[in-house]
Amino acid sequence: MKRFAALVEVLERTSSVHEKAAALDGYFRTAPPADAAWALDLLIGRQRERRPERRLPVRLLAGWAMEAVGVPNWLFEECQGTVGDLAETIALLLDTLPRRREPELPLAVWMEERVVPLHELPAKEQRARLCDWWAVLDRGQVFVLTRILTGALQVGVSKDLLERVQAPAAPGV
Amino acid sequence: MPPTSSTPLLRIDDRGLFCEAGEFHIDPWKPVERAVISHGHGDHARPGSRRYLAPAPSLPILERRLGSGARIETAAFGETVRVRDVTVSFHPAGHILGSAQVRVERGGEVWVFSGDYKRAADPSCEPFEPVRCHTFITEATFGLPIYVWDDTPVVAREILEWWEGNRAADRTSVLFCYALGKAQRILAELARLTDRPVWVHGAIETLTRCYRQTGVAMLPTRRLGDTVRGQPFAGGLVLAPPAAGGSLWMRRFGRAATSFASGWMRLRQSRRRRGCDRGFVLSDHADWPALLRTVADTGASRVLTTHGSAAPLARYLGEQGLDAGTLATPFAEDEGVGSAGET
Repeated sequence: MKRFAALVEVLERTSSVHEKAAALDGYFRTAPPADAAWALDLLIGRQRERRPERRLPVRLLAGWAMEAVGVPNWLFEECQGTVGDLAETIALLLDTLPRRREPELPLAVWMEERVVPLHELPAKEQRARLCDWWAVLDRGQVFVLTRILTGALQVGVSKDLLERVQAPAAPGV
Repeated sequence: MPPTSSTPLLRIDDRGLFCEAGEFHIDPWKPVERAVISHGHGDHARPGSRRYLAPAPSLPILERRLGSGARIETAAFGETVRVRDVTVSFHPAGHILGSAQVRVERGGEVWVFSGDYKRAADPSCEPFEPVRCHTFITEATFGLPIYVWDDTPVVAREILEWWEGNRAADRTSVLFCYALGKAQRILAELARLTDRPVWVHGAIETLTRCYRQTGVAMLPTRRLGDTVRGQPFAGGLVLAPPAAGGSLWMRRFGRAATSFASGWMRLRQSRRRRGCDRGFVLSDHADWPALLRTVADTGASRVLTTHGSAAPLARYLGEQGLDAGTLATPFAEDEGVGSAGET
């Protein structure tokens, strides 16, 4: 997950196609096949074909984040108005939480054992799990997770570019 | 409770933050009879007033900013100056070299104007000192909880790694930053990690000299204006104010990577708007936790917020039980980016 979030950060911050291609190439060259498959699906917005068509309601997620950091609703809205993006607002606000160290889990494990099953759980349990994950994930990972949970990753990378870096064919792709 | 009086000790008039009892303005935006100056950035120290009172360590910067003819009296940090019916003193604000909070006292009632300030450690200036007061006027440039700064040594290392990466690829690293304060802070932070010289824009070199005079340890600098045509820059680091980065000016550096160092780089849309390859989140202002901590440290029962996110910060403090409001001032978020001088 950490490596994927680092890839997304590079894709987000650079306008250079060359740098994006180098970052993608570096990731796909070294990622385990299961991770590469998920990464490809997430990057081209195809993840919903691989899991039930579900999203976590945005307001619900925002509400849990507000409670976690003790920010009132009006202040959250001020922040979101300034930031202009919900996942980024949540990631920036949660940045103040104390983090505990935990062994790094691969992207495929995150997706298959955590993210996908989350949608089957009652809201109370969803909230408990998210709070637990927030205590472990850094800013970039919270951003990516929030984007995935609420819809799509939406980063600036084209299918052409992905084909150009020749992502290795992986199971399910 | 502070002694009460009919007129507030400080209030806004058409020229600035006015102290009627002392007959002076703090950081006036129009010329006045007597100006008390918090620090040398252009939106706080403007030329044209008859007399100035300023913190002593800011003198070299103010002389450049206000011109050689300006009448500037100074006071050391913590020194009390009697001005008519009030006493005035300066206390370190940690924003840039010589930057101060202004403490004003009349008959036991104490007001503090924070000026611009930060709580993060900065090897290029005096550290912030909290001052107890009844009314605290605080800047609120970054007065939202989305603004939380990483530790400065972490950011300095990011800058160095970016430079190293460009060096390995034979590119020039051009880092845009404000000419007064930010540039010298970066030079001082990097001096802890490397000893390589840095190219600097003329506007930065002039101010960097003021810092060197006071003994701030920084990387050696070379002025861009002193270079000859065809000077190779590949692998080097260049510091320049944001206004310098036109395409013609950039051409001399050949293959270059660009970046910008500012608190605004915390937000993706600001990074995109700036159009640089990288944004380093490095601010000389207090972040949200530092604003709240500072308000608490002053012990003030009344807080007035100014600039930036003044309204949300005041509302939040009000909800925490403080008497809080906003104060409208035209201070800019940082010094003006249009710096004079050729490279």
